[in-house]
This record gives sequence, structure tokens and C-alpha cells, in this order.
Amino acid sequence: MIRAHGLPLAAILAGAAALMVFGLGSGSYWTIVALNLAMWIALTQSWSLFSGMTGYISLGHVVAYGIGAYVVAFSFKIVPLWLSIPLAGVAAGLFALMVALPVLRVRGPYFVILTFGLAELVKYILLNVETGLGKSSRLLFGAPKPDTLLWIMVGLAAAATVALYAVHRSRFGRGLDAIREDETAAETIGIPVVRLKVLAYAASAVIPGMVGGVMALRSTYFEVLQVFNPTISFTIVTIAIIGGAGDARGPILGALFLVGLSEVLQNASPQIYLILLGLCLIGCVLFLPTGLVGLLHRKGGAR
Amino acid sequence: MDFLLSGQLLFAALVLGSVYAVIALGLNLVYGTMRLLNIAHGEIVMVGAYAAFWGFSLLGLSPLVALPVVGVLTGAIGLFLYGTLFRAQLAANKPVAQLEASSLLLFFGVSIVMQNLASLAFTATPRAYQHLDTVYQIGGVAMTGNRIATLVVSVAILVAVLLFLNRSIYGLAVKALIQHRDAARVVGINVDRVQTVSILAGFGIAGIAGALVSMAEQISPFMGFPFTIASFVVIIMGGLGNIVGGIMAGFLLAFIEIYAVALTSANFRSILIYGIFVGILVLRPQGLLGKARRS
Amino acid sequence: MTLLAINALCKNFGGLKALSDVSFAVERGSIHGLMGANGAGKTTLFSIIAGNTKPTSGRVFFDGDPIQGRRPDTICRLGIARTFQIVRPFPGLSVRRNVETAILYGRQEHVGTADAEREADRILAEIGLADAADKPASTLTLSGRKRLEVARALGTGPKLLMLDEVMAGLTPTEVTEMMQTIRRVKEANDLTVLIIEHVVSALSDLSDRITVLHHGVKIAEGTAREIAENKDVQSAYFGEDDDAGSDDDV
Repeated sequence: MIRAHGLPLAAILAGAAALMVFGLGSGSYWTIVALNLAMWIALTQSWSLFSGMTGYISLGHVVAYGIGAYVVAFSFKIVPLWLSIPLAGVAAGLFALMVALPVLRVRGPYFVILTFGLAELVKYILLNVETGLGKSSRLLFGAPKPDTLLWIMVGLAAAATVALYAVHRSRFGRGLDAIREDETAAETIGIPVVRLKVLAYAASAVIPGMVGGVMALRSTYFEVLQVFNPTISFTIVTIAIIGGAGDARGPILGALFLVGLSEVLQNASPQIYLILLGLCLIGCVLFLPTGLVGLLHRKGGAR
Repeated sequence: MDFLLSGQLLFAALVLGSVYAVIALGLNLVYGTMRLLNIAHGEIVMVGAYAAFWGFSLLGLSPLVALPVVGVLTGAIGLFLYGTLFRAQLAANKPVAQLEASSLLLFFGVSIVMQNLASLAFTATPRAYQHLDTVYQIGGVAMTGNRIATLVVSVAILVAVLLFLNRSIYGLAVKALIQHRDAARVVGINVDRVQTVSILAGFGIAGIAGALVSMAEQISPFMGFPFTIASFVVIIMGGLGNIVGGIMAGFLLAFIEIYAVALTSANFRSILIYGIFVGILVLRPQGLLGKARRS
Repeated sequence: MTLLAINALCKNFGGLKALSDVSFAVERGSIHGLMGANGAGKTTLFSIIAGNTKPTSGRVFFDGDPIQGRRPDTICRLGIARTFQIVRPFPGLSVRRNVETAILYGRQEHVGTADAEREADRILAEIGLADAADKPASTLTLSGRKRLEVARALGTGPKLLMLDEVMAGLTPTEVTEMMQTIRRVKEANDLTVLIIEHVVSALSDLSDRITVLHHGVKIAEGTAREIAENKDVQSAYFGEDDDAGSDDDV
């Protein structure tokens, strides 16, 4: 499916890349916009790697982001950033790996609300840990400038996009497709269902962990309630639904849409922005189940 | 320790439990009959709270008098959402998993829209009013009038709904629908009409609960979310779609919450709620009190 | 030469004995039929052999090794493939992709994606679904979906193919075609076949040997002719009809 639409994918990538490069070269406003765009692309591509592929909708992806942010903030000025940011990804991945077995036994709507509840649980546990340590927030003085962070974020967005694209075409991706369609049938034709789900779940947490670390540096302070904000999880799902989770272009389209809408409206009226976002989500679920990416190839057909 | 044994905590737990039970009952009716996962349920509570607030502030109407009006208002919101978003999907008889997933996303959209409409219309500033806040000493326990009223009205609603489900022809049809959608259709139940009744009842009592809550607590456009979470914890504890189990679980959660917080500190409230939530989902997704769910 | 040996297999669901002390052997290269009314335990037996259900007690030997209680995907890679009575193709994937996935995962040896695509097309041609290769599986007719089940099972490169009522619900012409297909693919791929079928004439026609289950107990085994003449089978299977309305077996 991706093969047949190489051109649009290239065009979308080029457009998003152009915007980000523009952000690198110009003043801080565009840098921040580009940083946000790259962040949402990185997060949603990673989410798609698990939820889009397997159909297990995670409403708690912020947990990886938050753990990553915590690792970077906790080790700030102790561990150099070139090490702490990858460590953030590793920590998020390890956490996902640790909880994957019990969490992935749960299916359907139970899974959706479980992932949400788990993220909130981790949030409140860390909140109490931080309070116990006497740190209601951590200031990160001397964090790199947004320009530098944008480079890293663009790298993460590109890595997440390439990863999703590669998984789609791989044997691993075929296995995940089958799991989404019918788990019992999948294991009966030899697919090690549990192992594949666990791997995809853990893999989908790594880049969000690093993204969280970078975003902690970006805001120059760390507060548990801020980095574990469930709105981040919700926004990821919204981008994926609006853009379409079917292939690697969807999240890019969705992120472009979201960042565009937010730049036009968020400052003028955050409420109207969110109302429109909610309406778009409803509209997509009802009328555009394949998302914006579905508009690109209305031919339909199977994968 | 004396504090733990005093009536004060017991009273607090009963009031909170009755509110949880009513709100979760609304959620359970909607999920049980239609398999719709309403994560905008707390927003309905919020709307009910604002309706009571404005009724009191602008018209001087006691929330207790306004309860029926509030119920009709939020029930009407439910009907509107049912007609625009869900009726066609339900009639198409889609697979349950698909219905659950899409209803979750749709209600998520609804919840964002409602929160922000409320914030736009009423500002995000929390509001409160004073009504029935005389303190009564009964058996050494201090109770405000509005909390007593909340407890009495909530219990009355629970009893009324249970009677309705067990006695009226619609109530029996609702129960039949919860147990088996397809069979209910086959035996000649007008599924669409029964779903309408459930939506009206489910959304109506959520709004009424909001009006009750508004008498004793601050209200804001974002107050709904914790109620959504609590009611999900409750109906999962009680077993999704299990009406009596849900009511018992509402009280159970409130008792755990009130007593655990009294024993430790308020900081642990959220850990506790989410800990129970995650624990139950992982260990017993069919609910503490519920039977195994039909596949 | 025995390929599959079932040894004193029991399965209880709560208080219900779905299988009690069932033993029999399937010869390599044979077509072995399983007969019995609804609720006799045939599908439960399939599920245990394929690893979808764990037995309460008893053993299953495949190629001489005990396999009971192992995971379905492991058992599949050992060379046992099953179809489902209620077909479960991957509805959103194309017919070819359905089979391709089975080839990629179901075999012991590693197959590349390009080779898997070619192999899938070969199997689809063999099974008579080549024309539908690019369609979503959800658009197939019942007969098409039953064929796809068989094609996907073949994709895993099995030694033992277990077919669960692949002819139920088909028209007489389709039944004849399916029987020819089964014989053809069995010869072409050097398979052993274990088959559940309600169409008794088709089962008798195909099977070298038949095992009869009744309420979870094996009541007879033999050639089609021996089974037809067996008194126990006649009374259990054709005589009393006490469980005609019972639920489908699990």
C-alpha cells in the first residue's frame, strides 16, 4: 500500500521537513512551531507502531513521555545529555516491557481504560515520590537552546517515521496486522502473539521516552503533573484518528492539521481550538474512519 | 483511632458512596444496554451542576426543587447525542468491539467539546453557592443539610431505578437488553425505544447527581473528569453492565477512599483510586462482584 | 506409522465432561474422519491438539513427541494446521496476504516476503482462489472463506491438516469440489488429514478410518463400512436424538 503511494508520502515528508528546516533557520516563533510539529509526529508515529498496528488503542502513551522527562530531569547536570536522552528512551522502553505482560492480557475497551489508569497511577506515584524528596518541581538551568532541541526532535520524528514505515513492510508488521484482525487465528497460524505484542508495545515507548526528555529540556523545568498530563495521550489518539493510523503518512498529516489549527486558534481562543478539535475527532470517527490519509487513496481495497 | 470509629467518617462515606452509586448507575445503564463507553459521563454531571448553580443564582430556585428540570435537561442532551451519533451505528448492529471503540472516541470528542463550551460560556473559574449549609448534630455527628439531602435523594433515586428495572415493563426490557441484545430483539422488544429510555435515565440521573454535588462542592467546567474516572472504577468493580453490583461497588469505593485517606493522607487518594482501578482490570477484568462477561 | 496419537485425553469445562478418556491414532498419509453429533467433543479435541485449549489430563503425541499444553504457535510450527468451524479469516487483509502471513510465520524454515508472496499465489491457485487473491477476505462468499481457511492452513506447511466442517453450509456441487480439492492437496503436499464433518456421506467417502465420539466418549473406530454397521453408532448417532438441539461444541 505504501509502495503504491510513494509519491504522496515523499511530498508530505518534504512539506513537513521544509517547515522544520524553516524553523531551524528562523526566529524563535517558527522554531517552537516546528518543534511542536516534530514532537507530535514522533509521538504519534510511535503510538501507531503499537496501537495502529495491533488495534490495541493505548490511551496512556504519556506514561513513556513522562518517564523519559523524569529520567532527563532527574539526571540533569549529573549525566551528560547525549547519554541521558537515550537513557530516557531505554527507561521508557523497559517500563513498557515490565508491565506489558499483565497489561496486554486485557483487551478491547478494558485495555483502553487500563492504559489510561496505569499512566495516571504512575503519575501519582511519582508525584508522591517527588513530594517525599521535597521537590515539587525541578528547574533545568542551562538546558540547550530550542534550536538545538529542534534538531534532536526532527531526528526523533524522522526515526519514528522510518521505524513505522519499516515495520509496515516487515514480517514483524505482517504479524501485527494479523493480531489486529484476529488474535486466535493469528496464533493458530504460528504467530507468537504474546511476544510480538510485547515487543511492539515496548518499542512504541522508546521514542516517546526520548521526546519527553527533550521536552523537559525545552520547558526548562520539570513538574510531574505537567509531563504526565493525560491531554498528551488524548492528543496523540486524536492526531492518529484525524490523520489515519493506516500508514506512516497519517500521523504526519494529523500532526500538521493539529499544529496548524492550534497556531491559528490556540492563542486567540484555546476553548474554540479544543471545541473544533473535538468536533473534528467526532467527524472523523463518523465519516472518515481512515482519516485524512484515506482521502489520498479513496480506492479502498485491502492491505 | 477513635476518629475512625466515629460516625463522622461513616456519614462521609455514605454520602460519597450514594453519589458514586448514582453516577455510576447512569454510566452502567448506557453501557449495559448499548455497549457505549461514555467517557463524557462526568461532563453530564458538570452540566447538571451548572444548571443547578444558575437556577439558584439567577432564579433563586432551590436545587432540590430544580432536580426534575435538571434531569430533563441532561436527559435531553443524551437524546440529542443518541440521535446524532449513535442511533445509526446501533441500528446497523455492528460488532460490539467496534461499537465500544468508536463510542469511546466519540464520547471523548463530546467531552472536550462540552468542557470547553462550558469554559467559554461560564469561564474556567470555579464557582460555589451556599444552600442548606446549616450544620446539624445528630448522634454526635456533624452533618450539613445539603449532605443529608444528597444522601436521601441519592438513595431515593437508587431505589426508584431498581424498582423501575424490576417492576415496569420498560425496566424489564432494559434488563433483557443488558443481558442479551440479539435475543431481546427476537422476542419483540422495541430496542430503539428501550435504548431511548436508558439514555434518558442514564443521562438524567447523572445530571441530577451533578445538581446534588453542586450544593456542597465547588463546580468548574473541568470537574467532570474525576467523576468519569470514579464511575468507571465503580462499574468495573461491580462488573460492567451489572446494575446491583455497580451500586454496591459505588459504596465500596467510597468507603475504601474515605477510610484509607483518613488512615494515611489525602496525597494517597489518587494512587489508591488508580491502584484499585489497575489492579482490578489486570487481575479480575470481569469485576470483583460480577459474573464473567459474555463474549 | 503413527503421526498423531491421542492418549487418554480428558477435558472438563466446570462440571461438564467434554472429553473423557479418548484415545486413538492417526496413520501417516491417511485421511482420518471424526464423527459425532453436536456436543460430542470433536471441536474441543481439535482445540486441544492445536493448543488453543489445554487438556484436563491425557497426552497428545505428534511424530512421537508429547505436545499437549504447548502454545498454538509452537504447535503450528511443528507441522499441525487447523481450520475453524466458524471461519475466521483476517477480514481486512487481502486473500493473498492472509495466506502470505501463514507462510511467513507457520513454517519452521525462514521464508522471505517475496518468496512468501509467490508461494501464496501457488497455494491459492491450487485451492481455486487465484482470481480472488487481491480482494479483501471479508468480501468472499462462505464457500470462498472455507477455501481460504484451507489455503491459510496449507500456507503453514503442515504435515497434519485438521479440517473442521469445511463442507458445512456448502451446496452439493461445492461439496463435491471441496472433496476433490482435499484429495488433491493431500496428494500434492504429502499430508495426513484429520477431518470433522457432518456430511456423513462425504466423510465416509473420504476417510480411510473413522473415529466416532458421543458425549465426549469414543464409541467406535474403524473403516467407513465398519462404522456404518456398528450397533453402538447406530443407536447413539442415528437412534436417539436427545441432543439435537444442544449448543455447538466448543
